[in-house]
Amino acid sequence: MYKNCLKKFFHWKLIITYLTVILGLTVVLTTTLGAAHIPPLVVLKILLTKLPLINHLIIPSWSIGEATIILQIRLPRIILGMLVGAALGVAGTAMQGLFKNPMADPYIMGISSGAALGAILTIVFGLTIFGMYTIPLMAFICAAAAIFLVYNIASVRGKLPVSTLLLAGIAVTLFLSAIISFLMYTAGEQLHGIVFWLMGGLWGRNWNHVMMAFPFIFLGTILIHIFARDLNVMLIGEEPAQHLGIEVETLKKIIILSVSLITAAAVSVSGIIGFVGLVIPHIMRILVGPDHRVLLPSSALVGGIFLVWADTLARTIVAPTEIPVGIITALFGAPFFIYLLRTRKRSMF
Amino acid sequence: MEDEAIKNKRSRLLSLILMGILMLSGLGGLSEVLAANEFPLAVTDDLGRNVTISSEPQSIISLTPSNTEILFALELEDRVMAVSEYCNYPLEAQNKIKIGGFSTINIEKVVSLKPDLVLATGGVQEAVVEELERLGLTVIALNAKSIEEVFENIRLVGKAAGQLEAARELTTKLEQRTKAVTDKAKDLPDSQRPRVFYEIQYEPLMTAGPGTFIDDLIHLVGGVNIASDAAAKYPVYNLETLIERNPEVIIISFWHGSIAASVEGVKSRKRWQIIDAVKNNRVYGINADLVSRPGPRIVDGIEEMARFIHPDLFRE
Repeated sequence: MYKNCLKKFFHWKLIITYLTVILGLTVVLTTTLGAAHIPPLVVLKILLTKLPLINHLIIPSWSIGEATIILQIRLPRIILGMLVGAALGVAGTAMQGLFKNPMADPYIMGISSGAALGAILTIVFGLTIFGMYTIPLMAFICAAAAIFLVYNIASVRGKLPVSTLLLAGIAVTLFLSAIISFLMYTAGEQLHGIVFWLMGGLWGRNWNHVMMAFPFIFLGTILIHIFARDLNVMLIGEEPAQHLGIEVETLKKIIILSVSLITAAAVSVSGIIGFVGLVIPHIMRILVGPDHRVLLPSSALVGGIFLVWADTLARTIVAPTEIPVGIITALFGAPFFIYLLRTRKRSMF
Repeated sequence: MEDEAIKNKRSRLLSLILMGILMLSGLGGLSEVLAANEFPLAVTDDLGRNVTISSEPQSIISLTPSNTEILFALELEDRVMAVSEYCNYPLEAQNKIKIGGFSTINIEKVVSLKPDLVLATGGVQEAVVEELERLGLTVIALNAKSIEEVFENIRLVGKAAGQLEAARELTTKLEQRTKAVTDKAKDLPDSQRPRVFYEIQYEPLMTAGPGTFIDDLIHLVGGVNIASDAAAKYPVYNLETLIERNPEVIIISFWHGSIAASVEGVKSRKRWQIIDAVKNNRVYGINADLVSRPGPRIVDGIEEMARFIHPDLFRE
């Protein structure tokens, strides 16, 4: 038994190490790909100037424009893609585990429609209270408000019945969607901006967006990881978990709060990117098994890898025209997921 | 209601027969006169539909802002019964009855007003055109894709409304003004054609690609639209490419009564500081209606774009 555990532990460690290396390679590799024509070697040199110790060895042979493109446009976008992908991967895994529902995703608490409403109100009424960051901040505030609403509708005497929570999420989403549709119907010229925001994209993002999203995504992810073992116990059912000493209601609150935090942060900087939060957890559950101690970190890593590559396609495939990344994630992810579903041997949970 | 539809149909049939006889009898002189504004007359609209107008229309409904602008420019404002919600120019147009938005026309209301003529457009309004026609109304759809087609459409409206002479006068003036610009611009060598970026919106960064009036206009006034090779009419544009192609002139859209974009805002964007247009203080704003509506003010748009792109060639 003990030996078995040890073997498992090393096996997990190997998986996580592999995925981390792949993520690192992904970041470097995708930084050499882009709409602007900069030779990969120059890109690598520009990146190396940012590494301590060896940066003084590099002799600059590029223009300010090229450095700006790599360090101020391409790199922050890739890092943000990684963060958002990881956030959606972790959030989806936690929600599916907590609710024991394969249809659960990070947006289930009305977060997507809340964030969308915030962004659309900003666009339609031309709000500028937070300068150029009004859209992300308004999206975050309204997402938080939507979660608060769903939470309060669903809680019965301090308890959160799962089915009520799911239905409350759906009800609030539908209600907010109606308001969104009305605003779009009457939007006129601003319709373009709204549609593109709803499709989701990492276009034009800069380091400030990374800085805005990072603390929430980092803290939330750590918090969920701490409760990985408790999420495992939840898989046997709420009541048995309670008997095994898990504070079920407290756990629910912590997980929901953390998921909401990281999803709202992700959505506020990238719009609503579908598919990643729903399907990456399933794919990883098929590949590494249902234990949250390995499932959560690997979902985060693969979510990051997947979204960075999807966004690289989105920004290069018909350059200089950009494609909403949500189109790419579903277009390439869905067939792969169907393939896995058809060939899998184990059951889902 | 039904009676009227039948009557309408009958009179249309009659006029068709009349037209047929005239053509067959080879009375060249007479059909000339007809072309010069004798009712009933026949016109072909931008959807390729043959429309017969039985008598000089006294009540006209416009379903698009550009159609409204054409009608007012032809001094037909007294005959305009109703317009769309987006018809904001000239100011008097806003006092007319509203028959819904651009893609949300209230068909019942249009029919209830019993106009002699409805001016619509193609695209989203094609179904509306069919429906109104089925309900017995005379509808002309205008859908200009180029500057020349705008002028043609002004003459078409003039003809349909019995004001062909006024329309010819107007378009002659507009064509002269356009020619004054294009004559100066057309022989410019490539080296004197500035790279231009037209910003429709910033979040996400949207520009005007091939097949748009804006792209046409930039070219006509002697500039190069850096988004001419984009894969969509209104693409989201890659920021890397913007910096790489380094536009010498940036023009941003001002929408009436909305959004955040301002010339100062563009100039203060951190990553845009290395772009020539920002460095050399050549960021301008233009009223979006002037460069996107296929109406007479498109010539104002041409002149303004020309001043932005070649300030030394074109002065006010």
